[in-house]
Amino acid sequence: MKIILWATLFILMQAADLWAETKIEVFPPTGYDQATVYLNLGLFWAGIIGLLIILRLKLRELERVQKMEREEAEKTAPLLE
Amino acid sequence: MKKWFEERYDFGDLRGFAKKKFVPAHKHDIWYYTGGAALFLFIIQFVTGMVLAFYYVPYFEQAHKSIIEIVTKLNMGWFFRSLHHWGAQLAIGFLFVHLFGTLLLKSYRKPRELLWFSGFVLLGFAIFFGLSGYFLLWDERAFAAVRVATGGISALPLIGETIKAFLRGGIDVTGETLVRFYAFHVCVLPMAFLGLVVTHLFLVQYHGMSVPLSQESKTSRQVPFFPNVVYKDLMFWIVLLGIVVTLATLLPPEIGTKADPLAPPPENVKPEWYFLFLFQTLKLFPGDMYGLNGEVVAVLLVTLAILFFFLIPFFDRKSEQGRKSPVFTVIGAAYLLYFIIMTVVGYFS
Repeated sequence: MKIILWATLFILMQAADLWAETKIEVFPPTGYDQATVYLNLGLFWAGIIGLLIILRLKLRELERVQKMEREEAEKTAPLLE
Repeated sequence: MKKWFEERYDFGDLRGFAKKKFVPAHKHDIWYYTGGAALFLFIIQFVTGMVLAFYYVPYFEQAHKSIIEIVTKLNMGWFFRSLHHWGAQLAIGFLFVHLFGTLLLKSYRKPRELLWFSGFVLLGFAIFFGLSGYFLLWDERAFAAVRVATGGISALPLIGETIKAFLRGGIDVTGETLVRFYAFHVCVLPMAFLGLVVTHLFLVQYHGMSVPLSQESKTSRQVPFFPNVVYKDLMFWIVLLGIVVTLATLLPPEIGTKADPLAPPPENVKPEWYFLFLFQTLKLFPGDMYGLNGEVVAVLLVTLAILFFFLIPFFDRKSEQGRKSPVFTVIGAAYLLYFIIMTVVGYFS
């Protein structure tokens, strides 16, 4: 009798979930897929940081050359008397 | 390949244009990048939207189910939906930043009035993009929000009811509204938006970048658009892409309960964040004001405030003459403060 009561209670508890609002997974549910997503996000940011460094260096070099050209032009500019 | 094109097309003019184009450099020039950032985010929206449109079913019985299928069954579907969601939030956010930056730096002053108007209308389009896209979810919150938003328009005298009926495609929000909003979202708005973006960009090229009044006398330094500004734009866009991708990965939007037109609206229903200031303003007004309908008074006042904001280049005569106009700086700051405070209050209430 005790076993039947426990079994009934267990079934009712399980069945209670049926009334609960079903939550739809909006993210890969398995651990393996989640790890892959997070790993790719990390790699993606590594790529972004790499690109930013390259662009920054390129920009700095450009600005240096432009500054040199400006100074050169100022030096060779004819003076008004 | 390059030779093939060069034999057929003369790129000399284009190269000459890129070399001749200069952008003013000063301490407020960071604001120049906000418009480009919004443009980049809208490009992301177009791409992710096209992907989602392949699988979304714009019919009220299938819409919600098709979104669940995109998220749960389609390879990377959850990611594209999430990218589209976060891209929209950031794009509208950047448009607001761009708008308030333009307002406070008085970049709307003569001769750039048309730039201001086109930008303002673009923001209006973007907000309608957001509302129509939100409704496509066909969940109970989106349903209630659209019912409130389209219902609010009807408070406008004379034209309100006509606009409401046109947007809803009937008396109430139904499956007809879904089809209409889908047509707006994927066809009407993108076409209109693209046309206006081209006009806006053309006007930017025509007038050049605006220099704030406080900086006009201080600096005459100019930097080449290509490659200096393009590189900086690229750096900004790359960081933005990283932020959108990170938000899309870590905070994918939930899927709500399917909308039931006959069910009562859910409790404490709120619109998207960019409508919160309006929503909160409408809540300030009582139902009856000296015998007048409070909602009508509220909608009229809000419309007048937006109209004043829109026509600000015509009211700010001092800026038009190239003089400082602190009154309009205070007005601009008041608009910004009101927007922020009401949005925050609306979010936490």
